[in-house]
Amino acid sequence: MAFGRNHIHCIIPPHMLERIIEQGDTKQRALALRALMQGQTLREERSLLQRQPSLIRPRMLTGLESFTAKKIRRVYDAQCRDNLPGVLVRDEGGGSVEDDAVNEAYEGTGHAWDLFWKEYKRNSIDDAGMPLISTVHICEWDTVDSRWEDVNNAFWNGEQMVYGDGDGQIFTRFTIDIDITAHELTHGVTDYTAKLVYQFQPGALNEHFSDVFGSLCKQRVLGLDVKEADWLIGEKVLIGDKYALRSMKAPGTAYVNHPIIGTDPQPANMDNYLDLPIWNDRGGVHINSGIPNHAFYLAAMRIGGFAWQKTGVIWYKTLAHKLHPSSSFINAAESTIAVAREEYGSGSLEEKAVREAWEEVKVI
Amino acid sequence: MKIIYHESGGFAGLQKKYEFDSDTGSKEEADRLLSLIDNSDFFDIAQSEDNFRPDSVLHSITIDFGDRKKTLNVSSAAAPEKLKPLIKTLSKKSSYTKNR
Repeated sequence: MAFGRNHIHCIIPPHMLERIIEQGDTKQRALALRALMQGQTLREERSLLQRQPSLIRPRMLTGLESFTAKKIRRVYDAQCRDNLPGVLVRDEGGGSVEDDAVNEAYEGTGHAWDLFWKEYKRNSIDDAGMPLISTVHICEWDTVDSRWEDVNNAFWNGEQMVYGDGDGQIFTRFTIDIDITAHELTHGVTDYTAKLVYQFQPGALNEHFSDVFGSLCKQRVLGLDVKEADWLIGEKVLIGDKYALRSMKAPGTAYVNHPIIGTDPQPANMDNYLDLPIWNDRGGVHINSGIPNHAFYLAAMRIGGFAWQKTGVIWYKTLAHKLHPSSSFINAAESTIAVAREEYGSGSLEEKAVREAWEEVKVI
Repeated sequence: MKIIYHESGGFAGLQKKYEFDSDTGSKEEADRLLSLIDNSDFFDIAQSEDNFRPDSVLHSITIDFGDRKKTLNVSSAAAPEKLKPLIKTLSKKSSYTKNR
């Protein structure tokens, strides 16, 4: 088998095949006619591959499955306007630029892609090599002062990740934390898997899975095991050394007595679950996510090692294969326990760890 | 006229609030807000089921004016253009809820 040659690049041009059909012997004419007919199909495929370079599949390796997943990152600059995606400033394979936000978005999405592919065999957000699009320096029009102003936010808009630069008072740029980048990318993964509806408990789970894989991405890049990890989300984006946005280890303590935003409201267990109306953070999706976040932390600490391995596998398979749009905390608990049992055996340390974690946060 | 504005969500999940009561507030502020409400056609905007994207900011506006009272909940991305000046004004007047 010709592993070294790409069959797509080895097509004899049609005019030569036609000449062989006119001039060749019987066998040559038959081969040329078949090649002419196959070539039409291959030319159409090559055109598609040029448009979708992630679909690199050597098809003619009979009996072999060989697939190479490649990350495709594109970072755009909104130039402090609100048009998306903006101006392309760093493409896949392109070198570092002077703009820290651009480089952070590029590297962060790469690390998140690596986590999902290398640990869970998921090829990008859609498991089909979807390009990872990021826009930095998004701004919002201030109708009061008639000027473009910085945005205190990062979000997933259904197609791409978008990052603001912060107001410089409370927040710095939102690309600064790897876990924020991976958090936003994971919202995309959820869109393509469980599709957790963004309200009440399903919405809190949607937030939770993004915090989980955000944190795991950071831990994996830094090589931290469960004891070494700080389990904080957004520890740099809030200005001031003693503030982070969320804590999976100790919900409610990420920021305390901040002069402008007060104290972290996240509960650590169901005793303090906040029954909020939909108009308040869609029923408190960023608040009640503290409960499953803490369950993940507890399970990871009991299982030990690197959290993106066994515990991460359990949580990934739960998200990808078990949950559905209206899943509740109890569904998540039951599903993670079931996955732990399937992966590591009935009565295993892993199954016990996951069950005890959910019991400790009083979901079950 | 009474206005209650609540802002929530975003990646950080922070909350901001602003309330105005024309019985206690300044006439100048009341006139400005009334003008923004009129220009936004607030009472004619239908509450639609917005395809709310993760980590978007959510704005909840309740206006109680004469015999009319209405609440609109809308994300930043889905807000009608006419409503944006009112949203921005209320947002800039609001303060973070400190929780504890």
